[in-house]
Amino acid sequence: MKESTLWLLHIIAALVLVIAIPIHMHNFSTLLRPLGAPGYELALSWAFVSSRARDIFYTVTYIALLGAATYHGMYGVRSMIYELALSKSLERISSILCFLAGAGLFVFGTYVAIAALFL
Amino acid sequence: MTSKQNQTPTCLRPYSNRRGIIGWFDSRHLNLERYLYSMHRLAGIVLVGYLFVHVFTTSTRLRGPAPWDAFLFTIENPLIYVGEWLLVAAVALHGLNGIRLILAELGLSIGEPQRPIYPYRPKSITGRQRYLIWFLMIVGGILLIGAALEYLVFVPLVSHGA
Repeated sequence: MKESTLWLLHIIAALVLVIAIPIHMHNFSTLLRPLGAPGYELALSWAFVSSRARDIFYTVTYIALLGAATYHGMYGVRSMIYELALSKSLERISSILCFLAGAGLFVFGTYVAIAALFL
Repeated sequence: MTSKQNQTPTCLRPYSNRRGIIGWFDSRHLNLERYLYSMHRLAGIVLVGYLFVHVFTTSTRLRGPAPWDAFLFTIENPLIYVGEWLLVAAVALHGLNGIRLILAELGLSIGEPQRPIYPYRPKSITGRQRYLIWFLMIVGGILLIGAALEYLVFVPLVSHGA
């Protein structure tokens, strides 16, 4: 894939995260209870966690959020490594390691989100 | 220098990054944007690390209610609350500065190119760009105060009755 396409995907993933992370985090806010947020303690209780895990809407959004965060994060790490002006072979190795780490995290996180549907 | 190197245009020669990672934090002769660059990277590295930890720790839910409650017991301590506040700080910094960078990438906050005129204050880091930085810093400050109330006051004192 062209570097410009990878960069565009990085920006698109960032825009997804800017919207999705505050929504993801607001659940745990006690301050936002008046706006309908369950609050820190309730959001982390087993009853609430398992009910969210069994909801297909949450499963899909968790996987999408994980995909965007993993891609954005690993591409960012790769970009930082590339800026260190290493040799071509080290750049290639770092690309492969970033890809493997990101793919491993995404596969594991997706497995957890899908397996949690049957809690 | 060999004749082959002499033929290579300057822009295509390998770039020597002499300052490396230390250069991110060497603040001599640098401007506000450069500090944000360093902090954006530092926050990004922290968040990537947290992403791995978060996915692995929350996978505890697959093992049932007892391990989940045991996990919750381990995270109910002041160090974790401070860590969560710092995490919100990293998210706020990286997210808000990221919005600025996307706007700059799209050419929306840096203005049109101008002829350099003494004292060579580039328009790309003055005017709208600086106002945007200050605005985002104020938003970030409000988020940090809210998160401090959340994780350093409400969660320890109200939720857990500590």
